[in-house]
Amino acid sequence: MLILAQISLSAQTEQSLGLLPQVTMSRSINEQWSVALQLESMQRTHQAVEDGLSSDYLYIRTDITPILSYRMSSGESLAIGYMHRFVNGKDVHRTLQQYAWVQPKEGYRIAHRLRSDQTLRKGASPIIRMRYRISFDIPLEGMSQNTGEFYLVPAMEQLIIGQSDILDGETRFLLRLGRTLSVKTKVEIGLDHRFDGYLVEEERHRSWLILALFLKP
Amino acid sequence: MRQARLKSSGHMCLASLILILFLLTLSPCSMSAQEEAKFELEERVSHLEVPEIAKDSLCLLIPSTTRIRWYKDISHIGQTYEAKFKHEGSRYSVEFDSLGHLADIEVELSWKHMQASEKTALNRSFSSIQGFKLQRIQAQWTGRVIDLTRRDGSNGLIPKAMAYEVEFKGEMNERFAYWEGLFTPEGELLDLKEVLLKDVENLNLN
Repeated sequence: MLILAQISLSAQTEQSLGLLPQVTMSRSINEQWSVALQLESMQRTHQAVEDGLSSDYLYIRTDITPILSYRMSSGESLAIGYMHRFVNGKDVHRTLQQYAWVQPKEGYRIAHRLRSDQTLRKGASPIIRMRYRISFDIPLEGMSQNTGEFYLVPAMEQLIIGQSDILDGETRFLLRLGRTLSVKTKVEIGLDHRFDGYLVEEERHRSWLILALFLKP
Repeated sequence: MRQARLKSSGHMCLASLILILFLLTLSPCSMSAQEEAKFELEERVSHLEVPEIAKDSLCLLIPSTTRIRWYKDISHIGQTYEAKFKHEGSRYSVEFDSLGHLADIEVELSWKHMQASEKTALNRSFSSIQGFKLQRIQAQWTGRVIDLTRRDGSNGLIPKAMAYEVEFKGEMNERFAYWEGLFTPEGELLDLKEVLLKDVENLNLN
């Protein structure tokens, strides 16, 4: 609601709403190694105009990302991945590297993620991004997540984006409500608000409704 | 416009194809044996489902307890019942076997508020662990209900804990990780296992 209010207040900067469905499948190879495949599609449904929100559907992109992870210790892991993005006839390639660590606390967990990625697109300079995200994994029933129970994941991510000699930033706020359906299935619904362009004076506020499915086939 | 739609549907087909190929590569033999073996499931149950003997034992050991939440734990080892509640400011977890016999009692402790005599022996052990950082400490009682009940005529749990379950970060067995150790009140390490932080895909990957 806050985001909608904010959008209706100002249509000076680019502001939009949309859908971001995601499916992530992961599988352990052994105790250390695991593989995952993520599918994600971004679609805009509304855009801010002077007198409020206007329905304006636009298919933006579909990403497919295989990721290979190595568990260093109970809470730490390294991962590398490659993303192939389909954007209206143009292919985008992205490589990613990440170091993530999870801290168990009394009744919740804190997850940190340091990620770098490099985006390559024909006819454009490479884009390099450095990212840090902090998430809180909070069970809503009891001290840990169990089957049939709900949990909450608030998160914040900061990105530094470099392309040629241009430097920009992006800040993301996420809030997801999840439910563990079984030991192999989780579903989440939430909001991902992204604010970028503030270092290059081309501000954008984009909010995505996340519908995420996590499977361990 | 039509061309763009055709291209995007073509991309969706390609994405689906890659997805199917990925699923096909996931043969059953790639499933970790350990992952299969560590099957654990905890579900909330009504007190009506819990054996009477378990509820009676709980009344005897920790009288005047209210707002008890009962759980049924199902694992590859078997089925147990667990009562979780707060009592006099501390979190309790009392586990019973499938017939309702007491398995153990665990009470969350605050290191700051523990007695100096309790801390001294444990501290001696902790100081020998490189990079030790305490995450959580629980007092543990195991045995028969009759042995754990006060002898002075009043019902209630005997005050002296039989062991301490300690979650900590540090180097053990040449690995720097999160561990769960069971220590005697004298500080002797009885059991040690690595804490595996599971189900982190939604935190690390998306």
